[in-house]
Amino acid sequence: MKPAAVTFKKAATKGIFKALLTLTVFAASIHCSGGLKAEDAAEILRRMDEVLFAARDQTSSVTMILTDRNGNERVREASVWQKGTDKRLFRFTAPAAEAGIAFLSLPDDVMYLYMPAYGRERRIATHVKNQSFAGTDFSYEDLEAANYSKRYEASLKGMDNGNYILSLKPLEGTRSDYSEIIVTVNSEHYYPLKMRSLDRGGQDYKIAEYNFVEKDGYWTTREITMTNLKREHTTRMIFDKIEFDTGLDDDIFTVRNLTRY
Amino acid sequence: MKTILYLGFLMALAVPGILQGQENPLIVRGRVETDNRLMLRDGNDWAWNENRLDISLEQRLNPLRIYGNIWLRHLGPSIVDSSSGLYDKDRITPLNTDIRELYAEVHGFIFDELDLRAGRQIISWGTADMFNPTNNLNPWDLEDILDFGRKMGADAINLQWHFGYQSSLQLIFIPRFQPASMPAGPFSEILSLRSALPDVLATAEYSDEIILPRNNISQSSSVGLRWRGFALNTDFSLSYAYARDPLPLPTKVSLDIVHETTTSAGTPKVHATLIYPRQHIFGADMSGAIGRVGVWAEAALFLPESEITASVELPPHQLPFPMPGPEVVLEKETYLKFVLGADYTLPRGSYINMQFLRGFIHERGRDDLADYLFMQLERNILHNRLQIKPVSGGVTIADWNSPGKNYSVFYAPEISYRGIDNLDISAGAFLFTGKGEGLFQGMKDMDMLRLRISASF
Repeated sequence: MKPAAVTFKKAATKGIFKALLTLTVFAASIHCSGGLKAEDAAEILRRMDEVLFAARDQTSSVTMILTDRNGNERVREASVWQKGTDKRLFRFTAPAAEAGIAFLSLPDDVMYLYMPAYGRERRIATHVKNQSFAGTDFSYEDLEAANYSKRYEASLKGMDNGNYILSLKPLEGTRSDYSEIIVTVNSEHYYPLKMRSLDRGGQDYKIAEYNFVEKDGYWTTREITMTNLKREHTTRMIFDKIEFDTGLDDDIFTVRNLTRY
Repeated sequence: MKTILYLGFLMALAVPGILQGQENPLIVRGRVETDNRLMLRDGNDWAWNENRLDISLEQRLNPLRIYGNIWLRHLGPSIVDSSSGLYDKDRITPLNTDIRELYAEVHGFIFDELDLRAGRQIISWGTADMFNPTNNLNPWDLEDILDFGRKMGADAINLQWHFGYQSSLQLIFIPRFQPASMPAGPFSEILSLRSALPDVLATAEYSDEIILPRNNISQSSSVGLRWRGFALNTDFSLSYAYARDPLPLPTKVSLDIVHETTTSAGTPKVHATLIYPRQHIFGADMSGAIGRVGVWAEAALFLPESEITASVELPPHQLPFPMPGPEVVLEKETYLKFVLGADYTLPRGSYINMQFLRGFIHERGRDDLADYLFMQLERNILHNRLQIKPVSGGVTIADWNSPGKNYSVFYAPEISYRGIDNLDISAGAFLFTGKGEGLFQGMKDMDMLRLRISASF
């Protein structure tokens, strides 16, 4: 459990920051015909990362409901472990044919996939990162544990119902399948509300809609609905049994543990 | 009876879980599968009929993990050849039990970083797809040659010391030697010694005997050592193995001419003595990416412990054809087998995988290594409900001096339906052609269709 004082201090800081930022944005919109400042956008994105990776560690169970254009549904279940800003382990538990398939995301863009049928792990090469993870609408890149602010340059496009609209473009050296992500950020708590991803040709590709809830002092994802506009296919990822700061061991995020199934 | 005993043993794994209730439930996973192949020629004989229950039981009692994987199979047609066989149900519906793996594993054995796995297990070394020249500790399971890459479990002690996220040092000791199983069904001859006999003996009656290494530690054991690391965004490993070749080599060939009558020309009879020579194997492999293309390389340098010469014993009387003298079948010199591979996922989801292989599993010595190119293109369509493999197969060139006369091709297109969770229905074909010499050339005239249905639980 996160100490209440810390939560309060963080909330207060967020409030002051939000007021200053809103004021800055407002002032900029009056005095600068060119629009809003890039550094404001970077700060908003940094704040969003803080929310996404606020907990020291997190475990949860995930139910994924895959729906095709005809409304047919298939269900997947998985367990997820996350630590810090750059370690995540994702392991399918159902259906039986896919149980045990696991995906490990490590620092420095390193990802491994484990397929129980082959009995060994496999590094995920860059070309695979844009591929659907086990038939869902999430790609390996979507599931990667990494700060957005380290991979994307943000610019503030405007406001929508009082929420920030950021445009994220890959920084030089970032390997991404998206040419741009337009993200709507809650202006009070800085969690993402919606991400619209454009492919390399600048065409609409995916839309992710987020539902965040407050739990144990953290704003956390309760549900993500990812729609692949090209496939006309949707995956709802529903998080359950969420626990924070249980002291997950680094050993969980190793190839050694990945292959233990 | 044996099956019942095995099942009883596996069920015993459940007892700790039952005693401990829901905290450590017994995990049961498995699959039922039927695999049927029909020859396209020769009266459309069935080439393969297999019905398999593949069941895995796992019990986790941290830090202990107990695991068993067993196959119960109905394999092949009835083998009744007399009325007495009708009283033996095992001959009417041949059953087969295969304990694939059965081991106990301790995570953090004595030291936090050390894992111990003891018992029957399959050790997977190397980074290439299916063709792993560095992976030599488990014997090949070649029973179904078209399911290539399968290994048999070996009784082993496996110690692995882990360093950080991705590095480890692995030490493996296998106390007993176990030979590879050879292809069954219509491909039973393609790797046999008989197929390597001189043409003049092609019609000879063939028999052989196998001399297994003495069943003690010094003669029968194998050891392996492997270091895995990560550098420059590349996974790599270095390995060493001291093991026996799981495929036999002739050390003596006896030839005789048997005359049924004093006036007949006589029937040649060949009798071979086979052994499993020891070898040192130094391996290295890597996997990484060049740009957006996944790449891997794996190589093994084989050094036979001693030269193997096949002596030829001839009958005292004159032969009606010339026969070669003693022949060195394996020189004591190094030879290199390797695989270079790459894969790429095309923007619309098609996946392509190519591998170049020097030296198949049965090829030994510098002059005996052929080149193979394998390729696969697969694509998921209809929201992953169908997977098609329009390109899947390989080409081998046995002699680069005249490739047009010494090539063989293997083509295996397949379509799979995966529209229902846990169900996989695959239909495909195995087609072979070629000229001259070459592994797949030996499979010519064995084109077949395949239907496989599997359901997981």
